[in-house]
Amino acid sequence: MKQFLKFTGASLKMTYRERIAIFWMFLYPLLLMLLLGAIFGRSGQANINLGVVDLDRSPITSGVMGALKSIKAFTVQTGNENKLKNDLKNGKLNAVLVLNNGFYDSVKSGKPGSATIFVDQSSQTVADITYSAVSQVLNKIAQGMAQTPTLIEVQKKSVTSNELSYVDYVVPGILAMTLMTSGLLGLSLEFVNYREKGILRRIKVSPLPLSRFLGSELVAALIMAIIQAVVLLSVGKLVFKIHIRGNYLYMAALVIIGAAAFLAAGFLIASLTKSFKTAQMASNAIAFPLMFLSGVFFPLSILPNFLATVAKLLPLYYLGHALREVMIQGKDLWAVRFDILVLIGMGLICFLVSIKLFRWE
Amino acid sequence: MPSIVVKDLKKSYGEIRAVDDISFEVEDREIFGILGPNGAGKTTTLEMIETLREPDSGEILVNGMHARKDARSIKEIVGVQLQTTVFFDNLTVWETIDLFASFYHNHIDTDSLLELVGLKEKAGAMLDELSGGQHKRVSIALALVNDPLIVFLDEPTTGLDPQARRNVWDIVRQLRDRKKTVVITSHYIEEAEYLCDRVAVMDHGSIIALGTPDELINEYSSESNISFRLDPPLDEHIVSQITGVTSVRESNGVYTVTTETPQETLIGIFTAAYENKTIADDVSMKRATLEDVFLKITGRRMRE
Repeated sequence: MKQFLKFTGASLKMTYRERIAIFWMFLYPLLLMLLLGAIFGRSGQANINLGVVDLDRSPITSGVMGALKSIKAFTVQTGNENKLKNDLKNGKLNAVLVLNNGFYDSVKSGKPGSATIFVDQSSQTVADITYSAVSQVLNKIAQGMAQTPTLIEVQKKSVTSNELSYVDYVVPGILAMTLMTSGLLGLSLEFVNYREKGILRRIKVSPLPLSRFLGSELVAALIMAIIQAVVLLSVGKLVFKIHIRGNYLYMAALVIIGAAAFLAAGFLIASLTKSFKTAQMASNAIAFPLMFLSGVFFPLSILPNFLATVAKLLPLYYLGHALREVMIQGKDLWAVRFDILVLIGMGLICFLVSIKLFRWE
Repeated sequence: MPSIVVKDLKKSYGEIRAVDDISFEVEDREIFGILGPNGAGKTTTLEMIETLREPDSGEILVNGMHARKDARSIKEIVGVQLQTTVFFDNLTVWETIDLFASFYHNHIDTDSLLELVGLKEKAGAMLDELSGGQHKRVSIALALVNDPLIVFLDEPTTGLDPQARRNVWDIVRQLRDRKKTVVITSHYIEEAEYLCDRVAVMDHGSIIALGTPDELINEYSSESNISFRLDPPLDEHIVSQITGVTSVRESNGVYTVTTETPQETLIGIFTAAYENKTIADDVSMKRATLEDVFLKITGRRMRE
């Protein structure tokens, strides 16, 4: 045990002293979060496909439609209510806004106009973002048209009324990405380096068993993962006031499962490659596409259909999804059991294969 | 009981027979050298004894334990310095030694170890701030962390300048005082002659000679070379008649003779000079070295 702690401690110390590692593990994700947060802001959005149905056909409602169309973040489609709702079900639209009959009359008599927004229940986070964006935009329009903020009253259908923003979406995604890059580009590359430099052989001539050596390095890496999560979420909370509704133990469990799964994947790459250079290239070649295709920065619904399908084949999607559901939606681990299963499955396979292929030199 | 027994040891890499059926014993508390050119099989031999490599066949006993079966126990009582001496970049000298010490049941105090290898003032330095010689000394310190019975040093002075090499030699001599068994490989003749109680000379995976440096020199190359200047010069025939001289070479009045009885020959040289009314000057004598032994057995020099 003492041996174990000593090596874990030394390993943490070495990581702490490695400036480049610290940059990738902490500064890079933080910068990414700040950047994305600054660009899209608390309510800002990526492109949202919005269907709008004007049942009132009044001057005010067509004014609202025109205003919505002029907003860059929205791609507005108009048409028949049923057709648009169908598109929503098929994932072609993120939301359908219905400006109800009597909108004009209500406004004229000094009451808010009534509108209903339909969102896709199955992707709740996207639904929440869309809802919050649309209602904020509508309020702005209302303020512009008549100096009263309550011109329009939006009723949301089929979602709970969590006020969520893009930052709420992206922070769990960045956390997932960080765990992945640390796993693929961290410990495993260090291992290849140890192997190449002959440090592993030096350890092999000592009585320290391989399992204990690997184990203590792994524990150190998992401790780093937890620290990463704490730092990232703290900054997210302080700067962007993200809504963390999740149970902290569930979140910690997910962080550990995700980190371990990608560490195992990293070890597999390390075992399959011959030199530090090739290992590094292979890891990067895997990490970067995963980063952009797994829906960690943007909801899958804004990706083209085939890319959304690709994302669901990638392990990072499941980590991002699970973290988001638990952290932001406050769900329990049972609700994300499928994601957990995928991650553990991948980790286990990678781990077993890399143990089989392990080389000291 | 001998510290190490090696019997009929073989190891091939593909077609190359790196170690080709060698047997030897290392006595308790002796400094045993394995001398030979690069690629002779020294390191492979050492690494099989250290349990780092599996032999193809043969038997190795370390302190009575079988290398194959008792690898873990052997690792506790041996200390190993590998040829490559790279360690963790982001640890200090002290931390590195302290970390490796934690791998063993039995370990000695890090500070006194640093004192032994003369790195006390470098305790807080990072590994990558050290010179080549200091780096080697760290790797020797690591070979001693568990206060081992047997220490393996694989080419501990290769690539070092003369001063740094002297430092390493001093450390090895201290190991003798601490009653350790030391197995050291080298391709430096003078190192083996200076440090080792006994030397095994290896070439192409075989041991071609084994004994104390004196025994080897006496057995294979007992001749000494004596060179001197004669002014005025004498006929080579007269020089060749001097007692004990077996061969003569002359260039520009400088003669080099070989002899198996250097004392008689020296007297003979001065006698001949006196009798022939010439003056012998710049006399120097060189005893045969292990290099001559290697040359004699293989027909090649150990290092080109």
